Order: sequence, then C-alpha cells, then structure tokens
Amino acid sequence: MSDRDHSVIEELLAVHALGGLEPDEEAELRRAMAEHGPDCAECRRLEEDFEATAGLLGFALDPVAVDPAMADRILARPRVATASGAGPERRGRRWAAVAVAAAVIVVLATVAVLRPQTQTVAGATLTSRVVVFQGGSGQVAMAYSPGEPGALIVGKELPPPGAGRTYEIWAITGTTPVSAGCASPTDGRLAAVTDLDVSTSDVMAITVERTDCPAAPTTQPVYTATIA
Amino acid sequence: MADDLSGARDRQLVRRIGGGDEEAFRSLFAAYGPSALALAARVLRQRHLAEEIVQEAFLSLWLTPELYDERRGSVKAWLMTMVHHRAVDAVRREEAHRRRSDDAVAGLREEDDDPTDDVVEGVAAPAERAAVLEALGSLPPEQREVLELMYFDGLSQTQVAEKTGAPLGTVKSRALLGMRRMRAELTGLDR
Repeated sequence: MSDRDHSVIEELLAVHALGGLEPDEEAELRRAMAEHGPDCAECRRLEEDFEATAGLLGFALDPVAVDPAMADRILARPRVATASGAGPERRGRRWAAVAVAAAVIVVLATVAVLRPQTQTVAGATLTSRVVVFQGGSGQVAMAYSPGEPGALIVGKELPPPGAGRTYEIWAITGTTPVSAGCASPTDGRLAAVTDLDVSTSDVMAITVERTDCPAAPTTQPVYTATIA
Repeated sequence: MADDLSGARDRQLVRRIGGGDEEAFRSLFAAYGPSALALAARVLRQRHLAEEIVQEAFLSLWLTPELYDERRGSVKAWLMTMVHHRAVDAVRREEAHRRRSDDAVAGLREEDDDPTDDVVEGVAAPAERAAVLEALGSLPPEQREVLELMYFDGLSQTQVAEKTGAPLGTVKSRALLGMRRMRAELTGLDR
C-alpha cells in the first residue's frame, strides 16, 4: 500500500469503470494516474478491481438470443498475430498467404528499424516497400506490398504502453481510421501482422489505447507514417 | 467453487483461442454472447448496433486473445467490459455528433428497440445473474440508481446529476460507495 493519497484517483476510477466520465474527466484521470507513475501498484489495483466489478454488472440483465451466424462471421476473419501471440493451428488459407508474405518482408522491416534513415532497402523485392514511423521513442517500421493484403509492423526500444493499455495500429484513409490490430511490446520489441491492404491508406498511426482495442482512436497518435 | 471451475475453464478456453481453436471460441461465445448482447442492447437501445458492438468485441477476442491478462480478473468480466466500453463510446460519439450538428435527428438511443424481445431464459450465466442481482439489491436505493443510470443507461455522471437533481459531488460519492460495495459483494465471482 502506498502512502500517497489515492482518493481522487479512486473516485474517478469508480466512475470510469461505470462509463460515467466525460472526455475531459477521462483526461483528468489519466493526468492523475500519470502523476503517480506507471508503477503505482495501488492505482493498478484500484483500476483492476473496479473494471472487474463493472464487468460483472452486465450479468444482471436477461440474456438475449444471439444470431448463431455471428460466430461464423467472426471466425471467417483471418487472425492478427503478434510476436508473443497465437500459434499456427487451423488458420485459413488467406491467413497462411499473409503469413508467408510477412515472413518474406520481416527482414526488410527489421532492417529498416535498425537503419531508420534507409528508405530503399537492399535486397527488397520490386513490390515490397518499407515505411519508417515518426514520433515517440524507439523505432517502428512497416513492410508491405502495394495492392496486396498484409503488412508487418515491427518496432524496437518501445516504451511500455502502461498498465491496462496497449498499442493500437490504424490505417487512415482521409479522416477514417480502421484498426489494424492491437499489440504490446515485449522487452521493447514489437511485431504485428495485419491482413489489411495498407497501401490504400494515406497514413498509418499508432495510439495507446485500452486493452479492449476501441473501434476508433481515443488518444492522439504516438507514431505516424505516410504511405507513399 | 463453481465460479472457480468456470473461471479456470474460461481461462483455458482463451489459451486455446490463442492457438486458433475455433471450438474454444464458440464455447465462450455461447456462454457469454447472450449476456453481452443484452448489455449492449440496453445501453444503445438499438438491436443492430448492439450486435455490431458484440461482434467487434468477440472479434477482438478471436484476433488478439493475448490482450486478456489473467492477473486482471475473470474472462467473463473482461469480455463484458469490452462490450460496455464500446457501447458507451458509441453513445458518447453519437451525443457529440448531435451536439455538433445541432439537429433534431433521432439519435442512437431514441429508437428504443426493446432488447428484451428475444430474451433467452436459463441459457447463459445464471449463477452470475443471480449473484449480481443480489448484490445490486443490497445497495441503498440512491446508490443503485446512480450505478444503473451510468452503467445500463450510458449516462455520464453529469447527466446523472441533471436527471436525479442531486449535486455532482453527491453523484460521485454514491458511485464510489456503490462500486466499493459491489466489489466486496462480487469478489468471489471474479475468478
């Protein structure tokens, strides 16, 4: 137990878990928690306890029948893999193709991370491109083949997104962001694969989000890359 | 003990989903999909939008199961939290859009589909439902009202204060006290 006063944070976290904070109050909560630092155990305990409690409240309602086809639609989506993520079992053929493409370009993106000023990577195939993200600390790059689904995002020396947070990757066309998946670094290293055709996007961005991966960004981008 | 067993089963299912096990996904979907849809439909008051939210949340489970952290509570609470956050986000976005457009177009929550039309009795999570209802019933009425308005109706604390006529500080206090008590009552369920 910390000696610091957690009364304000506790009150805000209780309402946050209930979904009752306005955006400016959410910002106030983030500021207050930032002042306590990412290693504040009491902050983390309070957040986890209230989130877990709020998560159970929904069971008070009578369950409603769900269209069984919804599960089929979800399972038809190819997986997004992270460095520490899913294994190879029972993947669709499309996912397999994406994974193979990713394996081919992983070296390219890694090279780009190691040599962030390099835009033309020696050994790249004619159709492979690598973009380097700007902003934030550490280094992030993405490799993709224009006109084809699949891209690999790799990073190194990335800071942890914080307790209860993850990085979320966005492909932005015009003003419309589409999530390319969430991933968290392990020992500063991050690798994520998406099946999106990112070449149709204008900008790629990475934000810090809740681990439920919201459908639209709720924070400002930490890293951005322009798609040529 | 039953909660221990179901919690352990759920965690095992998430690990299997991490390996691409479709049957494990279907098991969790069958267990908690109906409660998730009930929650989203209650907050959004529109069945088709609620279904989109539930599909997004379970899609997140399927695509990135590694985001579930066993140290942070039960799988069922995590799933329902994902659904609730997304539903509330949708409500807030719609409210912001309506404020910007300053029109009288009917909003998200004004169609008011009745989410209880397709209630399925005795199918999903009966033990959880009984425990949460009992815990909510143990709250002082004014605390229960604040929790229900925020959580189930998707109101912000400012909107709750306006609706109930209670000062904002009182609403905050009631929310905190109510959540502390619910946390104590439901501790055994969150495994």
